[in-house]
Amino acid sequence: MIDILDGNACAAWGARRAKVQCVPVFPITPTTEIIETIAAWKADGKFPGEFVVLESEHSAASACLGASMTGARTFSATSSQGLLLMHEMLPIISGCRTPMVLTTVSRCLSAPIGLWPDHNDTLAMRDAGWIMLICETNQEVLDSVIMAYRISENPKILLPVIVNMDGFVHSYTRTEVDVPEQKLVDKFLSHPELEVRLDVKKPMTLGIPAMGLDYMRYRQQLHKAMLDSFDVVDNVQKAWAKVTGRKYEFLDEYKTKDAKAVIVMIGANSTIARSAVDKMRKKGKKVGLLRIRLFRPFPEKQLRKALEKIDNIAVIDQNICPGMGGILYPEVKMALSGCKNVVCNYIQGLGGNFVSEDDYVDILNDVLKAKADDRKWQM
Amino acid sequence: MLSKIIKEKDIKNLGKKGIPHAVEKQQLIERANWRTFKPVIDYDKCIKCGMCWLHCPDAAYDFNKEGFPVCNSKVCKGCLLCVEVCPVKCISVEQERGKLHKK
Amino acid sequence: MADVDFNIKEEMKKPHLLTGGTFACAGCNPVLGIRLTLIALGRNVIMVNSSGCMTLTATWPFTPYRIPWVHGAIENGGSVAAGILMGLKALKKDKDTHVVVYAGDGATYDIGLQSLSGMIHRREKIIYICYNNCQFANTGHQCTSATEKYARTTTTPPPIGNPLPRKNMAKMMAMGGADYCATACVSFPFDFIRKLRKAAKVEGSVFIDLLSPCEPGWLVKPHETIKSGKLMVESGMWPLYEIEKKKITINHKPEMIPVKEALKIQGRFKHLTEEQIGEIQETVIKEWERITNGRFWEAEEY
Repeated sequence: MIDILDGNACAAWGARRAKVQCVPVFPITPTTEIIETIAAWKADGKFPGEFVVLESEHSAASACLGASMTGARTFSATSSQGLLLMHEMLPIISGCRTPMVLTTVSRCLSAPIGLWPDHNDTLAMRDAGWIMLICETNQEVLDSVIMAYRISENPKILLPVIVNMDGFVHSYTRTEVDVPEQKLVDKFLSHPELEVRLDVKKPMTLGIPAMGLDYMRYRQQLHKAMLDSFDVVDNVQKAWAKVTGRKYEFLDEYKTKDAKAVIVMIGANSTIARSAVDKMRKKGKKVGLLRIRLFRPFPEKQLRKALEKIDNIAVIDQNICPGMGGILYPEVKMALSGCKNVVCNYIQGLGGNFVSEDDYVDILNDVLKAKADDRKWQM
Repeated sequence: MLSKIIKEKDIKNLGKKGIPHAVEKQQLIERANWRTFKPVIDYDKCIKCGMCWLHCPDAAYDFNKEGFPVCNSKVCKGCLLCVEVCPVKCISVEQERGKLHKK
Repeated sequence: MADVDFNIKEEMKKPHLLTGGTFACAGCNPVLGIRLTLIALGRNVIMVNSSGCMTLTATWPFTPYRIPWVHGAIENGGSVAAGILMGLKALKKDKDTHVVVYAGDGATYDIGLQSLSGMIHRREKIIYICYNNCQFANTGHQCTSATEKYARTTTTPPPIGNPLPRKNMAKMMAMGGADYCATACVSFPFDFIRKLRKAAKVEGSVFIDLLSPCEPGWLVKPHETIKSGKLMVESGMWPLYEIEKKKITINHKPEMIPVKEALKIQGRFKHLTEEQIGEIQETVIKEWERITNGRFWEAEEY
């Protein structure tokens, strides 16, 4: 079914096609439309699951924990401050190894309060033990939500997944989207029963305190599951490509094979950067783009393989860690440790500050000239 | 050295055991060493009312075939609430530890 | 108690749903509260715990629970339970299963008030039990808004003690839309069990404020915890009542012994002057008059 949908509708369609059973939510701009869409479906009888609006994002995340612990398929969505309010619950959800999918619609953090997108909210969750998929297009959001359930519920993984899109740029921008048929999704996505769950027939104590070495062992197992998820994500993406023809990778490489300079970035602005790359290519400049789609677990080896032969790299951060710089930059540098490339950091687009094709052309021209690592801002 | 250093790639996947949860274990954790005093029931006086069973925070009381309460000395922490709530005062107190210091 | 649908001889034959061997102190009343809850409600209970002393009853790999039990965080007992209920409804397993929250007074009166009020407002079929030991006991007995006036805690040390009176949570929740609201005390187990059995039949949200004396916090001897709770009730400091549809029923007529007798046994009131005791006595009498004379719903004076 080809439709013209915005990002929020795509996330809601993803949840509907995945036959989500529980949706505990709390509204926040720019996520609200996901909630409204599901609420409208619920009212029309098109959505058979449970839908409850709770009293805060923290409570919504808590309800997600409870709901997914019973074995029901759970979905929620939030943004910005709401995600930060959820933050306490996120390591608990991953620590309890309860599978679920959370759509985060990126919006800048207060203060000063703003409505427009940057990635500070989602990237602040990078240590929470969640698998993080950061999308570029609306289609990718829809596909990722469905794929995320298959990753999340894999008995070897049992980790929650964040599917990120950018506020407004995704959430309120309509594009052509192929909504997969229900039959196709049903075939792709089974619902394996959780072995460890809340059930009066099989009493278990969950969320149990563990002290000392036991605690460390559980944290180690969480890390292990995260590392194991590389293979699972890869397999799921391949399986999805088989049924729909839409192929996704950890790293989305665009004209990087022979490139001299490459932009490394995440999120929706990659689409603009792509056209900047095309523009530069027409002028004969060997440039490319690498978009990181799987942010956690961090595909360090793949990133190194993709970038080690490229001379000049521009890491673009639509976020700021005050006192340190961009969040993505040190991660890329770590992946390239020991390599001789010039890696520059550009901070841009904070608070949804408009970025054009020409801005990326400027960055590419700038990084082509760079002789040493540097940290810069594009205002 | 008690600890050892292992490589990340050598971490084993413990499967279900890697999920923090616990299920019923047969063996109780013993709390006998928390106790200074222990309750002793006089079965001649006991009326089998079950108040000691009802009020025991540590579920130490079970019942024998005749219906008399029996205190599980493994889990009894010696709080002596049972002594307090017994309506016929048939439970007496016996000191188990600290006798030497007293003398 | 005629309407008690509770045969102790029958219950005695059943296996323990909460076994011994926990980390709880000797004579711990909150643990006893869990036992009584499980005796009253049986096996079909999913218990949600808010961080507190009772979280440490289970410590990996040991669990004393023979029912499904989960600990989330401190401030979200109500919402984790709401999530569980949502999940059970989605899986069509919600019939005959009671979702019970067992949270401390700090987690109920203070940090968790939001999730509790949301749960009550949505009228979710959840039984919320607040085991009220009048302090944050697990972190070392700090003051909460459930602490009595002038009581000593580690954050309100003598000579003044706690300068503020306690909140009336049961009233607050009844006003907020709880379908069944009650106060109870561990020292009156039959009353508590009866209330729970009644709560199990309520189609809606239930709030029970369970006074559970804390041995190290109240500075009482382990075997005196039950007695100190009894004295709190008998002196009128902790009236036992239930509220259904804004109608208040008194379940136990206290003997109205002088509060001095009730306070004497508790070390946390040792520093009180005669004047302060007199003030407490006055408040208790006033409060009791308000309850009995149908003025319960009037605004309280502070």
